[in-house]
Amino acid sequence: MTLSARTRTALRGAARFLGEAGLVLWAAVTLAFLVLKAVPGDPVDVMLGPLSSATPEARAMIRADLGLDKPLPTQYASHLGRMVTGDLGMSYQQQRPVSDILTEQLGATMALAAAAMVLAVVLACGAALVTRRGWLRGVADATELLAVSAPVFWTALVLASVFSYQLGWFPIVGGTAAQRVILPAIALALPVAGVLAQVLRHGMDQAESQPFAVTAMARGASHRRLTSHHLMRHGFASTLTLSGFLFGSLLGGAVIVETVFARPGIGRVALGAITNRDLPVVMGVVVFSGIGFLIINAVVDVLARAVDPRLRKAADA
Amino acid sequence: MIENTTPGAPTAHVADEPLLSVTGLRVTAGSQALAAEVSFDLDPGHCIAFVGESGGGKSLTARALINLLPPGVAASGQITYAGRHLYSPRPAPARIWRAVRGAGIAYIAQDALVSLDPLRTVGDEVIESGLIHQQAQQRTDAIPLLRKVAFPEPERHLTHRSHQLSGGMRQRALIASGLSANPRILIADEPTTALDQITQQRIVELLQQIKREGTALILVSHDINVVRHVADTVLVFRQGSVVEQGPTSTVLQRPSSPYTQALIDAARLPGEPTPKPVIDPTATPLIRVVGVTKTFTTRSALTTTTTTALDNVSLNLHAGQTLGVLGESGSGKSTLTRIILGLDIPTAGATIMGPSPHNPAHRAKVGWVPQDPLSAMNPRWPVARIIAEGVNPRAPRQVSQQHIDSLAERVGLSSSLLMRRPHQLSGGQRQRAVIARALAGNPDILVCDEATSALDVTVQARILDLIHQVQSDLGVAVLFVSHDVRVVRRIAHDVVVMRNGRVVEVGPTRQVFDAPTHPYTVDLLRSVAP
Repeated sequence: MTLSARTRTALRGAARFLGEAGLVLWAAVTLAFLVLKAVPGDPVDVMLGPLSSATPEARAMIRADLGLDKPLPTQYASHLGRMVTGDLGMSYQQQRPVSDILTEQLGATMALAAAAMVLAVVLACGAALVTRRGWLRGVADATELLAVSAPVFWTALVLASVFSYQLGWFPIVGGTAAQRVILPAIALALPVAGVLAQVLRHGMDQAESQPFAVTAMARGASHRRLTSHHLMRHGFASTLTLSGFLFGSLLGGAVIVETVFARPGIGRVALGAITNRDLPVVMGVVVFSGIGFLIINAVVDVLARAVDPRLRKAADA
Repeated sequence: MIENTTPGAPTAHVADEPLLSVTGLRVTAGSQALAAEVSFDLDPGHCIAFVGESGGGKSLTARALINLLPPGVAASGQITYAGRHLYSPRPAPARIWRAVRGAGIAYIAQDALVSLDPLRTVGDEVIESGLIHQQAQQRTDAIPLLRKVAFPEPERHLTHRSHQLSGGMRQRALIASGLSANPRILIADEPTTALDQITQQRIVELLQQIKREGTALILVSHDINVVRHVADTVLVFRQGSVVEQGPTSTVLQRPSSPYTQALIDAARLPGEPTPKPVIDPTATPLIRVVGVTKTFTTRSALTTTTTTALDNVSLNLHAGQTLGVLGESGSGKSTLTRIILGLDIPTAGATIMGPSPHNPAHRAKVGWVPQDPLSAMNPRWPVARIIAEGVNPRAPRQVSQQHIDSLAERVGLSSSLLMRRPHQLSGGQRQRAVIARALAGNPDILVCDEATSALDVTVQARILDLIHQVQSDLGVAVLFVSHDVRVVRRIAHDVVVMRNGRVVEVGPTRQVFDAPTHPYTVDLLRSVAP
């Protein structure tokens, strides 16, 4: 009896998650479609290039081939219909399946994002733990503010010109894969690390002002023990919820960083597709990053509940 | 003679020296003295109590004894513990304090509900002090400690966290955590304040037992009745100084200061309940609660639980009547209040509002006096605007100053306070402000939800007098919801005793208190007998 009730509740939870996920993806795809159609310009002109001498008839044929001559709602419906069946379509530009293009590039972007995220977490934890007290705190606050406010393209350019061109430590062309990922990862990680460190430190400060921290000290705990056994977990609990947003900033940053460092990856594909009005590819990128967001958020939800057991009840009530 | 010793350096320990000796302890914030010239000695197995109202300096004095004062607050004086100088006159180095805290002097913080780390398990919290002082190794070492404080089913709750425990259980776990490194002195700051009467009684018994076992106690409390049962010596704090000090029996029976007398008076169970007004039984009641049942369903990923908060509750409230609703936390009285206020919809049954006595064409109006006035007022608004909002919620700025002044005057709130923000008022003044706001809409009924629970006893007495005064002036009916037997007895004409969502006893206050029929009511009354 209880098992069937459990299964039913679990299934209901899974169904709700999938329903919400579908809704999010639909909204993202629709928005991308509308924005791309609202921007003036003709994808066929872009495809053929400015020097093309194709006749208007030939252009009309290409347009009909791609379904671009049909009214907008029809185009929208056919895009959506194909996506529901899992077919992302063919790129206008490359004449290859969008799913092939994206899976080729996925590895590079994931390597970059993972490297950046690990780096950001390490930097943030280090900064937050070492610099909670004394004059170091002022220095850390200022540095983090700078890291958060500096635009990624600027940081990326500064890093590239100093370490790649002048010092030649991390060549942009050639070198090992590890060498090539370091500078982009740093550029991408800095703003994320700044935000993480600030939130982490704030969370620990908040926890330290709570009565339970006084209680821990009254038990004879040292500051170090208070931090490691009590405050850190509170800091992480407040940081985790931010991770979904930070993942978004990684994706956005990837577009710029991949371009500056001439790296392959989803970001560059997206940039190219948008400038070329390659609608199927843009939609593909939107779907891919949407799914990425959903997965990250689901993982964050599970992790947050593991770190802060109070959420288990609150979220279910 | 000026002692020429290094702080923390052990001195020759003489056998008849007290365990803890405090001389001329001063707690200051900048140039302001928060507690001055506190001196006392404490022996093993004895209990010294710091009593007085909040802001009197008793909690800060207690925290100075473990050198854990809030930022910006400092202490100095001469404190010797077991032959070690803890203050001389400046506090000893941190290393000394880390050894003393927990193992020598343990401290149980004021608010048990938030004094356990919410992200850690009960077991880990309880043994932390034992771990630090190498007297415990693993989580299961918490079981005997929890058992000692009569914590129910310690094995089952070991991996739970504080939000899964009741208030009484949290207080017990906190006391167990204080005992885990076998301290010689236990400081308990208001260990009973947040608890209902019956649990309070059990915590008092536990403290007595700890004392019998040879641990010295420092009890910080505003509750004279708790102090009377546990303490050997009493220090009465008022506005940062000790106004009276001596053996408990002497101080409580023949107090020399009028302030101590006022504290004692306020804690006494009132002899006579307020005379009951004549109520026409045939008149339509202002509120009829008819067979109200409320269930809540909680769905988690794995289970669906239904809890019954109210089970077939009926009561009537007549014009001019004060009806006390008495019950512990979890008895359903908050849910009942929410349903009467129309904030919740009953699962079954109904509440029916009768016609207003002043305007029979309209239904009776309700004013609400909340439990925690500070969180029930907009912190950015001055009190005048908060009261004005009660008069005219749509256009508080159009309410005349005269109108606001007259409401403030009715509740005894000086007009000089009207431009202050809620956080700039004292607890009693805040309570007056929310009563003024509740009266602003000319209600026929005042619903007071634990309206005096957060107040010190002497302030509590004045607020109860005010509610009584308001009732005789305006003839409003009062629904007074409280866990405090003393308060209900003092103010209510009739009383409804609730437990686990059911009404277990109902009747005129005097009859219920003099000759209770339900065993639960008997228990409840016994727990407050002086």
